[in-house]
Amino acid sequence: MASTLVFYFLATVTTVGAISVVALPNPMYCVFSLIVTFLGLAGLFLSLNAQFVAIVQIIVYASAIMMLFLFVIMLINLDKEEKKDLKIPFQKLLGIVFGLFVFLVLIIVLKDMNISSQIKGVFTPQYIDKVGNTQLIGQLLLSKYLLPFQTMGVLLFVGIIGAVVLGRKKSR
Amino acid sequence: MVPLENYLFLSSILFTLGVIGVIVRRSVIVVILCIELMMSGANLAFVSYGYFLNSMDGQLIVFFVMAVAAAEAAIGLAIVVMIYRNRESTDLDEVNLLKF
Amino acid sequence: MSKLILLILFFPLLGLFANLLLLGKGKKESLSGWIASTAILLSFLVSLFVFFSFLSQSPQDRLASIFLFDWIPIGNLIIKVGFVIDPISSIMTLIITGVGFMVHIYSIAYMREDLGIVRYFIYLNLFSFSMLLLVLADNFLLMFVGWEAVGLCSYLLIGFWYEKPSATEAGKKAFIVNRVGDFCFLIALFYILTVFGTFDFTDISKSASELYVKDSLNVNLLCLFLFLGAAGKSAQFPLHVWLPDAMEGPTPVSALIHAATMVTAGIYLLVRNDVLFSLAPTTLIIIAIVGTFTMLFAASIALVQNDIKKVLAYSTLSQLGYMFLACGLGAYATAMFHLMTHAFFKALLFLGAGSVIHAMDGEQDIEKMGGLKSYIPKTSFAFLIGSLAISGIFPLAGFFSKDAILFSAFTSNSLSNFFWFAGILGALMTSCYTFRLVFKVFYGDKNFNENEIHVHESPPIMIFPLFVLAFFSIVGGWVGIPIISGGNIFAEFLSSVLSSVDLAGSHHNLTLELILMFVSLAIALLGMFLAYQNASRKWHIFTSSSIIGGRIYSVLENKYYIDEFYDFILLRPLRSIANLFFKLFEINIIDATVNGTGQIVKSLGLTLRTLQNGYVKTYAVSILFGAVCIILFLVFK
Repeated sequence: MASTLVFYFLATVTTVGAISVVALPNPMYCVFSLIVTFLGLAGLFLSLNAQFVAIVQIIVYASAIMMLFLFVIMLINLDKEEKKDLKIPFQKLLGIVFGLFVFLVLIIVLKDMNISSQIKGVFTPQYIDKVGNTQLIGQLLLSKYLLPFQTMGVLLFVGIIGAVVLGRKKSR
Repeated sequence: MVPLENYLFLSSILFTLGVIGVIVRRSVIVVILCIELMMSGANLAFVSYGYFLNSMDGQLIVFFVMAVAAAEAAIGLAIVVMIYRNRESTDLDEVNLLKF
Repeated sequence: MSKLILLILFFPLLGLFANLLLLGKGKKESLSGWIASTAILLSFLVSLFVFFSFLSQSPQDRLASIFLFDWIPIGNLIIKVGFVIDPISSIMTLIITGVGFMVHIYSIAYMREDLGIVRYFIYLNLFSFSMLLLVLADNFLLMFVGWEAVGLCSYLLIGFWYEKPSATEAGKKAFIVNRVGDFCFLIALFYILTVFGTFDFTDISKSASELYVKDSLNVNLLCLFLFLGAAGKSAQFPLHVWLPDAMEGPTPVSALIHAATMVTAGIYLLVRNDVLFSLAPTTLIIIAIVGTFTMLFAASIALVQNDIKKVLAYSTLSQLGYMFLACGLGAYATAMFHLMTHAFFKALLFLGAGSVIHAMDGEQDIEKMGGLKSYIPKTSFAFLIGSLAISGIFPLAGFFSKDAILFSAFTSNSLSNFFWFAGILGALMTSCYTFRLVFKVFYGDKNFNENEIHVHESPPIMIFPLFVLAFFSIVGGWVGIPIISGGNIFAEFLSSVLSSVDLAGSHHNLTLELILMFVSLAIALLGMFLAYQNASRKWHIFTSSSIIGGRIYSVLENKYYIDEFYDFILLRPLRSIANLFFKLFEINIIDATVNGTGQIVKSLGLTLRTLQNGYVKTYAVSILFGAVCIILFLVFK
């Protein structure tokens, strides 16, 4: 009972935040709405027994990346969007229609999932609680997922270099 | 316990909202934000599946996705800054040189 | 000995390729004539050698053959490439290379200033090679290759001056009319294949009498189709229309191809297959009738023509009619004899005409000539010899050959008197039109302006062939003098090949022969007399003002309107059908399809171009859309 209530509360928060991201004209407000959305998501992750992911979401996503966005917005002095003529007519309407179409597709694909027969994994919630979520993630990262882990390191390195190179002012 | 379908429904909503945002909004920053939104929807789906299938893979994938998202956001924003420097505007409809 | 056959064929080919190297070399182009003539001369010498070795052998041994390779092996049938030379082909090769050599030499001077001289000699050599191939082949199919090749060379040489539209039209006409004949030849070939299973001449001759009932429909049809093929090549009615137009080509070409060699290929075909034809008497009668008709028909037209070459062209048609008449009567040796003498004096006449045209700076209308004897005496003399020969005056060549034909006509079984009478009439007309020509050109009043045209004798290179041919026109007939015991040297030479048929003079009534000789001589002299009267304007016979108010005259002058008839019956419907197809199919369907494809691609391109409009949003939406499609596809698979 309680879990259901918690879920619906968190879901509402997330949804409202998402709608605000899409609808609000001021980009600053959009960023803040996205932060709220992420907080809601973090809560949902917690309810799904993914504590590590939830905390990482808050640390990385909700604060670091969003702070990056804020910096850039302030750097380029972004204003509210001006009302100009749309290049593609009925852009908003088409967008909403397309979105609904995508939604429909997703629903069709994802309903009627009967996965109780496919449960193969060994990591039951009890086991995770016994070992500890973070420890488990750490163990798996360094054993089964070693290669992606290292690749991730390289990727981040490349990202740093790229961002620095791109962001440099031309000195000549 | 909340069944899986609820989580998936929520994930779909998030994704759809992200799609709508990408198409409708004209400012580059907000478009990138909406892309992040779409990714979050996917993240949610991953973790919920991981939970219900008793697997750790979902969480690990989300971990990696977040790392990628960080790198991508950094680079994307650097590009936005460069565009702004060149054109004094970040309106997506103005950026149309990539054509025939 | 058999290798010599290859040599005969090889030399013209060598000359051809040597001349190919000379194309476009400027000053050196004048060498081409000498190269070509040397090639033919070498061929002639080899042919002469073969001929003399035949003479020294007994009749049964007069045969040499060589097998080259298997050409088309299909199932049980193997078509080979091989050559054979026997007395008939020996005579033919001598004519081709001998007269050919004369024509080549003549052409060296005649074509001296022409820009396309190398091309000319290449074609001439090609023609010689093809004609030699035709007569030396040992099977029908190889002969057909040579047959087609001479048709091609004829087309090339008639239309040699291709900038003249009349020349190209004439070339096309020759080729197409020839084609009709070739089509009949092909049908005959198919027929032969199904019945005999082989194309080899010897095999066919051996098995013909077993496989065919004499005078049955089958063999008659076969021989008829073969004859139609020959008629196309040798210009018999109704396929004669190309020969007069072929005079558009250079005069030496007319001399060689359309007098001495190519047009005689038809006769050669008939003589080669004498065994087959003797099994089809009905067809032989048809051949004789067609030959006679052509003879009279062409001679009547020749009486009123005003172009030197056209007169000679119709004369050729008429003489070919004589040869076919002889074949139709079964007198194959006589036909060959007349072929040989005709080659001599017709080539002489044509080359002489060429000399006259050269002297008159290109004028060909005899109404504009006259009294040329004092200007070009040598040409005039040679031409006179040729005219006497063709008219059949004793003791020149034409007398003996024509007389032999007339004798065969008189003594043959079928409709003897009719054919003889037609032959006599033809002889009368022959001497008439020939001497009309002589008198109009060389004697009488000058109808041209002396100051405008500088009439000059031809150079010695051109006179030499004339005299050589004149010599042979005189003595060439002496091999056919009937010996008291019957037969003559010529027929005896060919006897090894034509053993089963009626040789001219095999049964001789000497008195009858002498009487007929006198009759034909008298007729020829009568013809000369009539021509003389016409020329001196005492009697107006062949002019437009006489002959029943000019109506007959215009009919004759317009060649009995045959060309117009063909145009109406064949050409106009063909053209309108072609036009119809053009409008219906070509423009609407084919062009529309091709152009339409282009249009479609263009509009497709224009449409697809809008996809790349540079708006990032569009790209993003496309990606999303694609992803959704993939998802759907995967789910509903």
